Amino acid sequence: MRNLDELVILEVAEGIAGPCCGLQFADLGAKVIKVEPPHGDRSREWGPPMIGADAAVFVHLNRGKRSVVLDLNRPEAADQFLKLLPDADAVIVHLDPEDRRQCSINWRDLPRDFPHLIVCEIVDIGQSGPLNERTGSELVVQAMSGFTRYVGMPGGEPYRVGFEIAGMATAMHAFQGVMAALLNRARTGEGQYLQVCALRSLLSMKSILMAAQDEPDRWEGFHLQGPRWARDIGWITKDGQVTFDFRKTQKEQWIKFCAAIGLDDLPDDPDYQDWHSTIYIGDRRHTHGKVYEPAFAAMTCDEASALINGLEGISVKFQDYLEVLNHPQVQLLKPTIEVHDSSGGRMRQLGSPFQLTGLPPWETVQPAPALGAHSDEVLG
Amino acid sequence: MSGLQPANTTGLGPLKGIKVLDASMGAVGPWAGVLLGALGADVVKLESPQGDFIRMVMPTKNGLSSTYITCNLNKRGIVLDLKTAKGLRIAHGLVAQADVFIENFRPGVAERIGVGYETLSKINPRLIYASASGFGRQGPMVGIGATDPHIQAFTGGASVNGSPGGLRQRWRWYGHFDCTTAMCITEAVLAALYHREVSGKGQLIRTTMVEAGLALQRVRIAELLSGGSPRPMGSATTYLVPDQAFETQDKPIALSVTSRRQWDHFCQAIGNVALRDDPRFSTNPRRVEHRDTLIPLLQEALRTRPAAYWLQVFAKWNIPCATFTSFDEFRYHTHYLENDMVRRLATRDWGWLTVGGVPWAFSKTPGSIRPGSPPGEHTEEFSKGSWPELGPDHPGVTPQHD
Repeated sequence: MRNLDELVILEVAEGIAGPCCGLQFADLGAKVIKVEPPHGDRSREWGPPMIGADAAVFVHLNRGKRSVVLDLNRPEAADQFLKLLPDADAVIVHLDPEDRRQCSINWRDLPRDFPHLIVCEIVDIGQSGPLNERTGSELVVQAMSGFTRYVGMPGGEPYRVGFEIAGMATAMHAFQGVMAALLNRARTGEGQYLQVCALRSLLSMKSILMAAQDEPDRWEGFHLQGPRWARDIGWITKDGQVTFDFRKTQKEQWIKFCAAIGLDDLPDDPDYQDWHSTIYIGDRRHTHGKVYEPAFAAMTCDEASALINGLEGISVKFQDYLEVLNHPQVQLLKPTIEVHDSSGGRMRQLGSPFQLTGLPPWETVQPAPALGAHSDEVLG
Repeated sequence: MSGLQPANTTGLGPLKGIKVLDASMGAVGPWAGVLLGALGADVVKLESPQGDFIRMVMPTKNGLSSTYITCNLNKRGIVLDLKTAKGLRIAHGLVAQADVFIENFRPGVAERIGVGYETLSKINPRLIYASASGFGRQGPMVGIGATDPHIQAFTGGASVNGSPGGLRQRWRWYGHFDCTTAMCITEAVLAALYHREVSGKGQLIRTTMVEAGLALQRVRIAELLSGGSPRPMGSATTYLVPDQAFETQDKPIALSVTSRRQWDHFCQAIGNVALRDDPRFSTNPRRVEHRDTLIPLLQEALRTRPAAYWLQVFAKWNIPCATFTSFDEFRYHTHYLENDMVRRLATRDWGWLTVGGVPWAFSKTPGSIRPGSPPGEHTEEFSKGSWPELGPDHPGVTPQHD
């Protein structure tokens, strides 16, 4: 039985979801062979920013992998691919509908001919039902799962969630599915086919919200009104925006905060007896939170957070990525790793979000492969 | 001896036989327990007499927080007071039989109350001990409470949402960073269980909400670390063009062109092959460069027809396209129900409950989503030193769906 760093994963996938699943296997030391069409993974062109010939998106999601070029729509290339399967533990496949139809490989039935094999197929919108075989994208899956309603202004023009929630949810479910199937194989010796769908993945992650919206006991606040609330910009200071919260049990601390910003009478105001709903993400924050705004406008982010955190509340800055990576707390977590780049230098990239303390530490990782760089080595 | 047992094809997931003691609170740890339960593990939620704080989160269903109900699907519930010798003894007895322990106490608390890694790994060297925190175990932020909306802001999540050049804005669904951390815990637990199959050894695994939040945004961070500038662009993004909302004759559509072939097909679909052959627009990097020229041309073309027309045409050409929808619109939609994207569960205690379906469609080991139990329902049967089998007719965890 192979350990994590001996697994062989074939990745027949482009873009974000499949490659990010493969990336997580590569990060555990597995040998990940990327099977690319003649033009290469489309995300090689998803830039600028570019690093050399390839987009930054591609360079990150494909570090440490090998690349072979096979046009799986051609029968002889499909045969070459099948020859790789006896030594492979899992295949991650994500094809456009027209390629899925044209390719001679029946992904669902592969474990019949290769009983040890795990095949994880990624689809965008679903393989049955009225929208069967539709192709998707990050934005389209966000729109179809209703996530875009939680940014921007209610009734305003549609916005996206600015990071790749659909791609990431799908990648993580695909990784979990393959790993669970590998565990099952460890006991039964049998591989299997599984399917992960981007739209279903994002809706699974929305379960808390869907449960809250399904005929709750009488309630009009948090978890229901998100789409109807104005944009959430936190609290504006002299030099940025901050969060601001005291827990429900911390009324005394909130009273001290009010005193510190010159709102000594607020705790006696009958309209502020339910004070907690006027701060943080409370459901009266947009109507009753304005009283705090002048005080925030007179402070810097650091001053506001120091005041609130000093009273045992919670306040952090609305940071950008540079600020978070340079934050002293984040530096202690060492979230970035060193990766070789294709020109012989080194670059920083985000590492893995979890540590398995029983595994050896990171070494410098090989760069994302040039298109077909390992064709000779892998295909022989 | 606990551990994996061969799963069969009768609806039992790939983790059949794996026992999980989930001592975590809120959503971060508990959603990982839900996922492991959906994969077939036998998950027991351990609460203190004070109870999980998430019970306070509104709204409720039949008096219990819908967030608590959702974050404890697929679980049996027990209450133990770990501050008493008896409670701790029972917990240690369960740990000896468990494969996985999940905790997200504040840093230092697990050790203080007798369920730290050192203690539990001596009781059970094969144990996978999953520890999650907000900011980590040391440093200036450790004393500060970490919940989803703060972690969103702290990890940069607001810096790419909203209007170009506008204020940073958070996403008003305050739970995705919690669930993303849970997804990371689940990944790490599965990898550690696999490692145990080979090595025979358990281990400590760690994650933080900060690291999970950064991983969720890894594509944007890769841009930053490569000299790019991730920023709010409304419905658009920096690195792909076209990939944004467009107005049509009636309502907006989301439209993306992700590959060379899709660009070719898109130009044919809108009846403008001259656009395809224009060298300014022939590759994605060139379209990104000439975005300000291209987008008005596309907008002009798309405005001439209603959304339903474009949905039909782009589906035919395999171009990603959709209208912007909401829960009320899709909750009864055949496609969503048929693909198990929206699952209605009949529960004994809380009426009908709508949640997502099983995220993985396994051909041999399907897994399931089941209602959990009210807090502490199974305390007594777990207080006798053994881990009672999870029977199919167990009250409250009977698989029921319409």
